[in-house]
Formats: sequence, structure tokens, C-alpha cells
Amino acid sequence: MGLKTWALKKSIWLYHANVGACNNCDIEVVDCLTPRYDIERFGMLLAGSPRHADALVVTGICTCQARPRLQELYLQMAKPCVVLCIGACACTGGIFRPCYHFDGPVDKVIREVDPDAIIAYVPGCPPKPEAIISGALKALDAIPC
Amino acid sequence: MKRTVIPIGPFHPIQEEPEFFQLTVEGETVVDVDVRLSCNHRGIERLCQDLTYDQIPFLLARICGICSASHPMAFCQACEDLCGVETPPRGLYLRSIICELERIHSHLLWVGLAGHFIGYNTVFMWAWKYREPVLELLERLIGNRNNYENFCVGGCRRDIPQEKLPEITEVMDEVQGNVEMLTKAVLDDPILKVRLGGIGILTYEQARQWCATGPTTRGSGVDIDVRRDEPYAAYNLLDWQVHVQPAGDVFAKTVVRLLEVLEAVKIIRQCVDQIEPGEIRAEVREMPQGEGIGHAEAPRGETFHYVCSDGTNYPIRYKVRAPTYVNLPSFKSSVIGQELADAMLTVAAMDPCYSCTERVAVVRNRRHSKKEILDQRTLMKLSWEKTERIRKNI
Amino acid sequence: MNNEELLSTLQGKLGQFAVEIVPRNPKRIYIDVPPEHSIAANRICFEELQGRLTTATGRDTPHRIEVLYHYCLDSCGVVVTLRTWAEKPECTLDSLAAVLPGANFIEREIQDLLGVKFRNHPDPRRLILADNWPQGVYPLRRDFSARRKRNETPEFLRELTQEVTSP
Repeated sequence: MGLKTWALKKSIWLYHANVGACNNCDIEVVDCLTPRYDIERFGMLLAGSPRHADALVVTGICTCQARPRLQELYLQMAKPCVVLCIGACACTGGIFRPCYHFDGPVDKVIREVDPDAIIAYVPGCPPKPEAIISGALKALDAIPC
Repeated sequence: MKRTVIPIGPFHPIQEEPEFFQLTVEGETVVDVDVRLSCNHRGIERLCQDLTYDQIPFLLARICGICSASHPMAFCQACEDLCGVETPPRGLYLRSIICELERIHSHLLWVGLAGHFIGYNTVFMWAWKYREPVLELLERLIGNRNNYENFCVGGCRRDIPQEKLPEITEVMDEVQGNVEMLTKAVLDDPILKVRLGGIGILTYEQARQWCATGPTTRGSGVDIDVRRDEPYAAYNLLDWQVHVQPAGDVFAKTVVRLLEVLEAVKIIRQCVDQIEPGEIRAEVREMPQGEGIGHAEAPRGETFHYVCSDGTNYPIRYKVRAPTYVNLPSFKSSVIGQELADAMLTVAAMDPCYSCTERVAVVRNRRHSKKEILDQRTLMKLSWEKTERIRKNI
Repeated sequence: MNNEELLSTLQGKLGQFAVEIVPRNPKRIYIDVPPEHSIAANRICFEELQGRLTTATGRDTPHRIEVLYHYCLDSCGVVVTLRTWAEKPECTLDSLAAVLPGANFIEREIQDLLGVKFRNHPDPRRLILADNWPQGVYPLRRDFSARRKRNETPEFLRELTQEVTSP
């Protein structure tokens, strides 16, 4: 295990980007921070800037307007990093897939700038906080050592 | 004085519209504000034209995750206005119960965030902890924490069994105790009164001019509430009141929201007492040609839905107006003239959904751009420092 | 104010402008106003009847684009809808935002989604659609096809952009 991967797995900081979600997944992500679920016990924190973050938590369908901004966010992050697609919209486009302003899904947009990105999917509408925590931990396990 | 443009966003959604703010500041004072929506525009109105009347409520629950009862509610009322169907009484009571549970958890969410913005993270953690039993109750009653999807044209899809009603009362007891304590703590706190009082003022006249709705205007002394003005669900059968505060500042809006939570608890208790077994859904055979309008009081204000039918299964035009859409432009009145440290709180006072914590300025051509970049942490720090100053001076 | 009083008030104040006043039911009143009188009628609704402009709806019909201004009269719980229209192909209307700031956003939205031009609008920039959305494509027009194959969306947009921007 390289030093970078070791450091990444110790305590991941999350950066949360909403690229066209309905806020459902977003409040569930914040719910993870509050006393009931408290992901800080795993060393996870919401970071204020993508440059400080190890995982990009994406919610929403990725609209036309958000697409270049999402790519920019991903490029700003320190590598190696993990992308977490939270909710049905981020995983596939979900119910909004036929919409004219849909330009995703998220994994496709991110793979355009980095074909080797590590992407984890947490389906559900919205996924429960337990599912989000479990998704984040599984993504960490998937990082090649 | 030198003017600086500060971009905030665009990763900062307000209801279904995340937005890109540009604050123009002179020194510490905000002199202009500009908003650009689009990142979260999904095209729901167009998609509705390709869905049947039975499918649309499921889509509308996903307009906003926090108002996922109010939007389908307004849609069902628009359709009921169009086809003239009367919902049976049990359906009406069920609708009121779910709408008020939604209001409780939404307002507590807001109180928590407002606390977070001024550096009172204890309030944040408390309020969100008190909110959790309500979400769990909803999961037991409806099957999901946030997307309820219990409304359909003519009534409700699923019944709440009679034997589960005492559970609601139990949770209400818990919520009431906690919220009363929280309300008292907020109202008695001298720092909060100084920190929140007198900032972000929206006057009565400005609220009228911007056509704002909900707690944003009730905090400015405008006495409007769809639940009372055009009663829907079971609201005209219950005893409750509208809370109005005249001051127009952030403190007034906080007080309105906290009192509304207690009022919602009162409404739910009455619903549980009065509800009687019976049908929950009226049969709708066909949609006639014509137009229908429905509106409902969501936690953030009035949602307004317009549906136009040509007699087929699909609407030919469907219009949604979410409350933030009219509350948002009123920033132009309330933010200008504020200190930069208060701008964020003023924005938050209107109850944009959670994601206001996520802000980042993505400026591509940095060499050619003279814009100053403030990220979320810096803005938050400004606000926290001001609270700290006030605390020391008291 | 009861319903008959409200109807006679509306008749008295708006009768000079209106083509037709239709109470579809006691709580929903629809008034057709020709475009040249729309601002005057809107001002009466806002200033004299103390209505609150809830929103405006744009609706594409074969020969014209209808714009419906919805007013809530909160004191009596009635929604009054003023229906005016912009004839195709010019699709221009007088802007209400110049008089009533609350109409600013919604008129910009109608301009984006339906292509109605509002004369004298104080701030006619794009509001809702993406920066790279092609000029002259209006998603709520009848000729815009939203039923596309699922994987077509981004390419569809890019092709359109090239068509419109290339000379």
C-alpha cells in the first residue's frame, strides 16, 4: 500500500456537490453528520473546498449547466480520490432521464475527464443515511492497494 | 470606494434551483446582488406533459425533497378543481397530518442551519436530533423518510391504520417538549436577539412588491396563509392560528418558524383525535377539458400549480411555482446595505434548502479575472467572528 | 367580500379592458384581456384589488402564446387569472416587471422557455436555461420534441448548438 492510499483511507473528507438534485439526498447526507448517525466517528468530515477533500459526494442528475462545473470540481480534487454517486438520479438519471436539461449521468461526465476514476453508486430515492455510510466504506475498500 | 464582486455558487441550490450569487461589495457593505439560476433546472414542467395524471404525483414529490408533500398536494387540488371531485373526510385528515409532519421537520432543519451559520453548532445538532423522530415516524407511517408519495387525485393512496395513531401522539409529545425548550432557549438568548435582530430586514411594502410568501412574509407582518385563506385538506375543521411578526428581520422569521412548529403539533393532535374510519379516496373517472388551479402552504410558502387538460390522460400544460421562486428575488431588498458577514444569514433566513453549506467559486480564467473569491469557509468565518464580537460585548 | 360583490367589482374595474370574465367556480375567475390593456389590468389587480401576483404561466397554442397572470386575493381566497396573449411569429408583450418587481423572474423564465419577448423588461438576461443552450430553441414550444431516445440527450444538444452558432 502506497503512502498516498494509506493516508487517503485513514480519514476521508467529503466534498458535497449538488448538480441538480431535489435536496432529498442532500439532507440525508447532512443527516449523516448529525448526532443520530455521526459519521465523524469514522473520521469523515464535510470539507469546504474540493481541494481539501478525498471524496466527491455527488447528488442530482447533472444538468447542462452543471456539467462543466462538475468536471472542474473533479479536476480540482487531489488524486487519488473517490466519487460517490448518491441516489438514483446521480447513478442513472432516474425519473428525470427524459428531461431536456439532463446531460449526465454523473459517472459518464466524470469518466470523460478521467477514465480511471473510482466511482461508487448508492442507489435509492433517497438512500437512507445507513446506506450512504455503507457506500462510503465500501468505496474505500475498493481502492486498489 | 472600490467595488469588489464576490461570486458565491453555483453549487448552492435553493429548492429546485441552485443558484449563482454575485454580491457587489464596497468595503464590508453589500451594494448589489445578482442571481443566476439554471444548474438545477431539470425541465419538470415539460416532463409532466409526457406523464399521466396518476404518474405525475411521483415526479412532483421529487421537485423538492423537503416539500415532497406540498407539491403533490397542490397538484391534486388543481386536478380536483378541474374535475370537481370531493375527497372523503378521512383522506382530508390524512393529508393534513402528513403536511404538518413535513412542516415540523422542515422548520427544525432550518433552525439548525440558521444556528450553524452564526456559529451556534449546538443549536444545529440539537435541532437535527429533535427532527429525527419525526422522520422515523414518517417512515413507519408511509414507508419512506422523505418522499411520502401518499397523495393521488381524489384522495390518498395508503391509509394510516387506526392502531398506529397513538404512535403519532407519542412522537408529538416528544417533539413538543423539545421544541418548547428550544423556543424558550432561542427567545431568551441575549446574543441571538442581538445577532439576528435588525438584520436582513424586509419591510411590509417590499414583501408586497416582491410578492413573497410564507414565513418570509409572515415575519414582515403580512398576514397571509393559504391554509386559512383558502382552506384545503382538513384545516377549516381544526382550531389553529397564523403567527405573524411585524419586525421583518431574521429574528422575526425565526420566531415565526418556531411558533409554527408548535402550531403544527397542535394541528396533528387534533387530527388524530378527530379522524374517523372511512374511505380515503374518491374515484376519478375522467379528466374533463379545461383548466385547474391548486395551491398549498408548503413550509417555505405557497406552492402554486396550474394544470390545463384537453380531456386526454396527459396534461397539455402544467405549471409549477415553488415558494422560493418568489422569495428569492426579495433578497434584492433585504441583502443590499447589509454587512457581508450578514449576507449569508439573510440568504439563509428565507429557508433555502440545506445545500447552502456547499459553496465554491469556480473561476476559470484566473489570470484575467479580477474577482475576489470567498469560499464557504471564509464566509462562515466572517459570520462566526461577528457572533463572537457580540458575545464579548454583552 | 362575497362572490357576487367580487364579480361586480371585477366587472366594474376591469370590464372596460376585458373581453370576457368567466367564473369557472366561485374560487377561480378567469378574465381575458387583450395585450394592449394587459398592463393596465394587471395594475388594477395589484394596486386596487390588493392581489398578490402568484406567478404567470406561458402556454403555447397553435397561433399565439398565451400568458396567464395569476393573482391571489388573499382576503377572500379567490384566484383571479388574467389571460393575455402574444401573436406569433413576433411574440412580443409589454413587460409587467417594469411596474411590479415581483414579475421579474417569471417573465425571464417565460422568455427562456417559450420565447416571448417582453418589451421594456428591466433585466432581460437568460435566467433558467444553461449558458450553452442554443439560442432560439424553446423547450416548452409545441414543436420541441422532448420524447427522444434516452441516450441522445447530450449529442442532441451539441448538434443543435453547432447548427445555430455556425454561420
